[in-house]
Amino acid sequence: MKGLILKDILNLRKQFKTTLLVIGFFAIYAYGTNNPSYMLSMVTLIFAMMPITAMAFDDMSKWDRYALAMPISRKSIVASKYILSICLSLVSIVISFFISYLVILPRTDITGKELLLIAYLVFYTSLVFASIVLVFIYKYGVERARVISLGIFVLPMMVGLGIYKAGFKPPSKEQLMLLLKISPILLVLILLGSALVSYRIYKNKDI
Amino acid sequence: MSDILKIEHLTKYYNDFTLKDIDFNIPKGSIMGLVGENGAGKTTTIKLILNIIKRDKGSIRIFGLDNIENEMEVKERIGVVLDESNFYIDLNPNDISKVMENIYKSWDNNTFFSYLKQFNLPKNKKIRDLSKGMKMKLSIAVALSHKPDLLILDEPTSGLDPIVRNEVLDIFLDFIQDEEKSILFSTHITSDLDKIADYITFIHKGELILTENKDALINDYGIIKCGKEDFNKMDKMDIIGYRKNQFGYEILISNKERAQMKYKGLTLDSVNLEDIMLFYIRGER
Repeated sequence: MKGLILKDILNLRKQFKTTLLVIGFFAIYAYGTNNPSYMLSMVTLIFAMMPITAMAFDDMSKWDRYALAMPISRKSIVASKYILSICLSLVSIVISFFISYLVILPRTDITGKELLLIAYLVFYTSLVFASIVLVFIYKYGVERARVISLGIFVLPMMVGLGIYKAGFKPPSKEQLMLLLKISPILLVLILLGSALVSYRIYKNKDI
Repeated sequence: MSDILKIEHLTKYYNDFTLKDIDFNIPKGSIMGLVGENGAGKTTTIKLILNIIKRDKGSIRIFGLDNIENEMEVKERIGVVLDESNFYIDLNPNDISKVMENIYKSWDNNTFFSYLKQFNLPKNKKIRDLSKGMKMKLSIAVALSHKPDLLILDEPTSGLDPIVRNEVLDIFLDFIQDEEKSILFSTHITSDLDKIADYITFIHKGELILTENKDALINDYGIIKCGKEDFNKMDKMDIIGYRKNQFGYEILISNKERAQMKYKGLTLDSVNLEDIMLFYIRGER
């Protein structure tokens, strides 16, 4: 497992270097606009796309066939991609949170608590995104899953807008607090459920 | 002599292809050549051995253990070389050592780096900058560095120039020197097997044609060259396959000694593996 994750991290080295530049750009943008939320979401989005890139590299080098010839189980291969997604989301959120905290927070009205909440929501969204995309990748392959992943971003926005336009009342503060409290359990369930579905697909795949 | 690999009645069904009832074994200290045309079932056999695909029938025992029940234990002791490098092109041998030491319990970096030295492979050169021959040597170095007892090679010499091919074949011969290890060598380049194989397993359209000691095969098989009249007089049971050309007939037979006695006066030539393969696949019957 460690070897698989290390392999992905080494494969993605070039991407990390480019991402540093992008983070720098968004940090300046956030500083200029006094609004860190855009940086938080963009940086997290870039990191959330990385497991897809890692899987594209695996496809290119026909890695999986080789990996399965080694003492590596199909379960480990699937699990490693989920762990990679979680690690990358964590790294991205920690980086962008600290940039926001140090650079932007002293100049705006946003409190540390609010910033933490934004960071949590972005982290949450990126992992839900990963849970959906990974299943699609295992089912349809990387290229088709990339297109589908764009849809995954647009669809919730459209649904949200629809609900808003239809005149539904927004949930109360208490309801939101409750949702926030149960959200970590929900996230674990989503990740586990997704990993299970991915494994089922991958288990029967002819490689 | 005990077997490192023993395959019995191995069967796999696909919609458009069936690998049927394959039986062969590889004794310790030997090289088994697995031959057959493209699509004959060589890669399917290898995938089944490595449990990359599930068998429908039969059994596969490696080091005396079932390849599915003891999958991880067995794979710790197998080295695999496929027809291309399977690492992402931006990695270098140094990176690969870091990955592999976290995959194989018995991975040994000293062994790996000494192979790199022996094969003249730079530690820090990216795979994208290596020639095809260098990539293959790197794959072999990787496959040997956890000290496997069985090497499984799937078309490892295809696309290599004759010099590198010979170097690679020498590495394989070195590997079996201690008489404890074995190699399964799948290829359609039969001249490589003429050089190094001890046994040959020949698969055609998913079926086992023969599995035999290579020297016995080369000694026993032969080609009779004759005209139409002699051909018509021949016992059809003796004919494995024949080819007709403008000078007459070429006939593959499986018992040279008997043919010599039975068909006195006819020209009887020796064969190589390619001849045997061609007559089975392309020859008329």
